[in-house]
Amino acid sequence: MFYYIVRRILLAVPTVLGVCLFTFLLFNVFASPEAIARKQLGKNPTTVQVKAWITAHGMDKPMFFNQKAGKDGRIHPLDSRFWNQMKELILFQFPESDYLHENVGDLIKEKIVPSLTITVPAFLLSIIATLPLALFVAYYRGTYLDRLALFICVILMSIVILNYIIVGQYLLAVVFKYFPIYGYEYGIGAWKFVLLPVILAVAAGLGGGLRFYRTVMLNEVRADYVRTAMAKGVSEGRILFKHVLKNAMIPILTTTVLSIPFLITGSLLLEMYFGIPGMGNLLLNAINNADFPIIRSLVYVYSLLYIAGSIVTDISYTLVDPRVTLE
Amino acid sequence: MPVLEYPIDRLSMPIGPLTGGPKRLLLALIGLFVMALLSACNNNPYRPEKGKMIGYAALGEDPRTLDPAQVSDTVSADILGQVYDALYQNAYLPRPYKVEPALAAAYPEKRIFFEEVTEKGVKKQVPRMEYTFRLKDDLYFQDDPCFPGGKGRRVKASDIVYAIKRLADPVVQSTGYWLVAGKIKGIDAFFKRAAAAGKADYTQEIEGIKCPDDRTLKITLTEPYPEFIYVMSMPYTAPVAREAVEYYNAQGREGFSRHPVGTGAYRLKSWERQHRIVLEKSPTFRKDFYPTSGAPGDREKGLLDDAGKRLPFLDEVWFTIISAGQPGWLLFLQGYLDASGIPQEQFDKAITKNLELSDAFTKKGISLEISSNLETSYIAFNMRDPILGKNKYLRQALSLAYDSDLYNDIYLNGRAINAQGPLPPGIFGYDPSLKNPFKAHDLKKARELLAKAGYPGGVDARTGKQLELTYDISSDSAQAREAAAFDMRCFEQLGIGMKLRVNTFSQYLERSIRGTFQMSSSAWLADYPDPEDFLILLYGPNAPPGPNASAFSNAEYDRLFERMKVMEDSPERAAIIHRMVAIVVDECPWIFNFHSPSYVLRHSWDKNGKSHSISGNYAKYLRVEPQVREAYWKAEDKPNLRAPLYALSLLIVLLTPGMVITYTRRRR
Repeated sequence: MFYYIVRRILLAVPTVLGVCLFTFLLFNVFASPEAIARKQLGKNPTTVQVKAWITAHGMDKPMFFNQKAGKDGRIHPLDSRFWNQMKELILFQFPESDYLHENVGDLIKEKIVPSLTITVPAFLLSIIATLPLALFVAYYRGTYLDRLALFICVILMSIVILNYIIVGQYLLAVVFKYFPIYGYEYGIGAWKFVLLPVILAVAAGLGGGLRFYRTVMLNEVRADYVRTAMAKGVSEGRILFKHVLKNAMIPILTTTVLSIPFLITGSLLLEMYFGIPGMGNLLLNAINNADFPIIRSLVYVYSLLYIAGSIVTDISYTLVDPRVTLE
Repeated sequence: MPVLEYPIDRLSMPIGPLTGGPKRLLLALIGLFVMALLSACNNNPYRPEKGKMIGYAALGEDPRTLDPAQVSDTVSADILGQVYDALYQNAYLPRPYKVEPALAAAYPEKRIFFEEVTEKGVKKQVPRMEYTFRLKDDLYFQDDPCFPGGKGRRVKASDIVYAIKRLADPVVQSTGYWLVAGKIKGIDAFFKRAAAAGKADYTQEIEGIKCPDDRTLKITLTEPYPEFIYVMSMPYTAPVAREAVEYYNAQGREGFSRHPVGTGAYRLKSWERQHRIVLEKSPTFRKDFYPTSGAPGDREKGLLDDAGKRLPFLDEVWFTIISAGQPGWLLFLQGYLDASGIPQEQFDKAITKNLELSDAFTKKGISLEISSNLETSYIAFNMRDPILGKNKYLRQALSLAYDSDLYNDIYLNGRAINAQGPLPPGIFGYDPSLKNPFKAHDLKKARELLAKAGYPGGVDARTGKQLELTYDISSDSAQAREAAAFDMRCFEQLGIGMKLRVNTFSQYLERSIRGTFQMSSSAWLADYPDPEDFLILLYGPNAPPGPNASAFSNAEYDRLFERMKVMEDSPERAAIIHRMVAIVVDECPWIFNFHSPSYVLRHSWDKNGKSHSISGNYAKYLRVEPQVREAYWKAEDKPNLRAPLYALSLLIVLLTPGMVITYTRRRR
């Protein structure tokens, strides 16, 4: 397993580099340093000012390889825009945002908590709500209840999240007036504002989750070991919760562990519509304001998280399924 | 019997056997959830604040910065205007717009003198202009930990000099340097030295700025420039305490851009990024009073009820950052915002065909204010383009084919004013009688001009090929595409082929800097209420990468612009402006589109609100009646607890028969 993990980590290096390179190209090929400087310097900057901005941000250097001699008379081939930016990211020395003039690391620290206050409860609640429902539906398999549930699932899956948000916000906060429409409070007071987006996030994920878990459960209850256990007289509840659930965990784990990194990225639309000052909002605003330091830092962090998530998923296989070994 | 079916049929009680720990946990969780749900049962998003007069407002996005040297967006300006006062301010009630002394004791003294300079070996006399500003007596910075003992110190003229030097510091990356560049004598040299050194040396003097004493500031301009008073009314030139910049920019602190320390009526209490900004009354604010006169009609609207009273009124102003359209509107309807604009999709509900407020809203005590924005939107032609640039008739034909009125009806609910020239109403030199002959939407005449341009029926007379033009847009949003589709359809009616090019914002910026577009739509919102701010957009030397994106160049226009720029408002200046507008109308570098007025709704408890096109220190004039607001909240905030019970009952009725039948069948 050790070699497997080392191999995966080594493979991650070109992947992350590739992702960063792609983002760099997206933002640097289409826009010249001058365009970026003018965007950040407001309505009507002077030419001298634009030049000073470009120099201060190291944007006067070549994109990838520097063939000019530096101040010490030697050539530093990696003293270029891409590699200097990569160096900052690799050392986790986050740059300053072009638009907000604040350190990106500080911004991430500030935004991560509000995002997690929505995504973590939504994540846990959707598992808690979906699993028993899936068992329920699996139990009534073949009856009209099952068909009704599947029908509702398909409907729930077909609605885009924006509709959940707009209709849910209108119905629950405006017509029925259970929740504040919009807002946030740092600290314990946050729960009041978090409830509605969490409920909507759970509802939005319910259809897909339920169908998936139901299929997994049905595959398991048909397995030989279930029949053996029943023949041995093991109680049905015990079979279901001790044996079936444990074996059904493998596919469930894959999807859940893989989605853990996305908890940190936050939910763009939920944050925007409910006023949650989180990571989704940060990224959206950064894109709107062509704030490349934020974008490249977030892309880097997210790609690391994604890779870490997939490695952890692989490791968790071995924990729940003794048949799986990583070599 | 299929074997695989067997186990599931025998499995029963899937949830029943849950016993002990997990069961209790589940019940506890459900209990907690229901409790939370019930206790959350009100929709008030604010913490209760007893005994305070609070104004609740919305901001469209998070302010970019609260450093007055870096402000470039209207949102930041909205907050900065309350925290930083400059020497002058936009007068709150009078229209047309004008500036009046704020920190300054009076209007500035101006003196024009001649200075001998040697240019290329030739001696000549150059006119210079010297402004003398005198500060009021009782000016103090807001209390802040950056000052000894946390007490705000007295404001000195040198604090304004410091603010101006910050504009010319490359480290600050100021968005306001262009306002003083080339205008204040010696500032260009200061910037050049600073750029070469990487940062400004604040001990160095700027030649044209002098402080004979703590209350006097003398600024020499390189040429007469009466608009300079507007520069001195912007947050860019508001006094900045050097202690504050150094204190907050020190290692480990969050930065001066997050900790404004000014002389305004409000100081920053808290700023939670992308969430909320709270401003509180500053105890060190100077003696300032509500205006005693205003525009005609203000008295009838109750805008002079508080005349002569000490400012400010509100104890705190809460700005909630709301970027999506729906939540802001809904919060307003629930009474959690004092005032609101009207989202386009709600316009028909709120406003009747006669552009009046609908009954449903007036019954709630809501009132409507319509005011003109100092804004002009237009479609710009690139005058360097080989097809469009050299062919006046073609541009005129396109202008004639454009149907602003139809666009207005379809997309703007008919509320915009069809623009005839570059200047919006409310700006000096605006001519209400101007009728642009090329804005008449006359397809017949457009076709005639097109033929005259060499493209009869949209076909190039020389090559026989159809004329094809490219229309650039800066966003991929559905709205932008829809608007562009409308614009292009207008031109296609002439038989011209239109191609849409969707750019990312960076690509679009790149095109406007390089001038590699044919036509594209744009808009300009005034920085200050002077025609120069609009006419500068067509001044030849400002061609790309400057703000004259059309690269329009006309010798007479440029000459008139240079004359108009240095003049005080007078009939002569108005005449020059009219001539300049006439040139632009005839040359048609832009298709003038709209001046969009703003529609603002206010609740009955929101007093003294009057929209101002150029944001300033408006919050200090506002007053609310908290009791009226609380009564409204009480009437509105009644959660409907029956609905979930009905829904639950329906669910039980639907599910029970199936559950019972299946369960008993399988038991058997």
